[in-house]
Amino acid sequence: MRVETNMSWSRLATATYSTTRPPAISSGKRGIPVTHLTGIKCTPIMPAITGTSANNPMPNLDPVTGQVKELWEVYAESQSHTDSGSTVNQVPDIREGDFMVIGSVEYHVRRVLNWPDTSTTLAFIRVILEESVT
Amino acid sequence: MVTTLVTRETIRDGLVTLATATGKWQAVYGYVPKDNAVRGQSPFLVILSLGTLQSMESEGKNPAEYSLSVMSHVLMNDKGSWTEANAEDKLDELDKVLRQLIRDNASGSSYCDAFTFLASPSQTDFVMIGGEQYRTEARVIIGHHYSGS
Repeated sequence: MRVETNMSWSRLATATYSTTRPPAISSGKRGIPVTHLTGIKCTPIMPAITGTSANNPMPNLDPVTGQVKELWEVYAESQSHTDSGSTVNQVPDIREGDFMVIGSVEYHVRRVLNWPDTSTTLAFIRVILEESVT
Repeated sequence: MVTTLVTRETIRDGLVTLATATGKWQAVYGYVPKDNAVRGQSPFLVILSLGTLQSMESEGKNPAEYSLSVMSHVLMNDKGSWTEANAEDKLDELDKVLRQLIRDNASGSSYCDAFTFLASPSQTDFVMIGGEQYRTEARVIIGHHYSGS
């Protein structure tokens, strides 16, 4: 158990977010997302390194509105949180197609990157988010 | 004689109502939905105004054709049990549903005098919405007003 790292992490993961996930397809149809995870401790949302910026010549544009869609990122590690109503202690089950709810804004989860730790006691995920065009 | 022309919206809204009533699409939009409205739903249908052809032949005879772009969207993969093969089957099913819908309402179903298809094949494609890939199929449906009013 790498206590020092965990203590450092706890100082970084100052934000608490939740996620929603579209329900399973039933009879060929899928509805709007429902609450999936709650109480996820994450780093505060910040612009993704791979996102649009002054030095990125290829902005992520909405095909309908032409509006620039910023990419954001958060990090999370194995932790205690609520998964579909049950308390679990694991790396948050977040995947592409989910939505992360931050404040009153819902972000598309565009990519989840696993950062495995060789000690297996720590594992991080880097979650790339895209703000919905409203 | 005064001819009061109608708005194309009447026909578009009517087709939205008919398609919704089939229950085959999770959502039917009569406008371009933003991705935060779609939110991963599948399948969904988008019906848009495409154009109007109207002639002014004489007083009281101004036949009009209202073209509508109708596009089905089917999620290709839900990272669960729904696969690309399921999506292709669903796209074919919805193609048939739409053709049957127009066949069953060929007399216009009170929204116009007749519904027909543009004599051109439907077009399938792919599109990314909110980071997820959808199969699409588009066709043109025409609402006719024989008198123009």
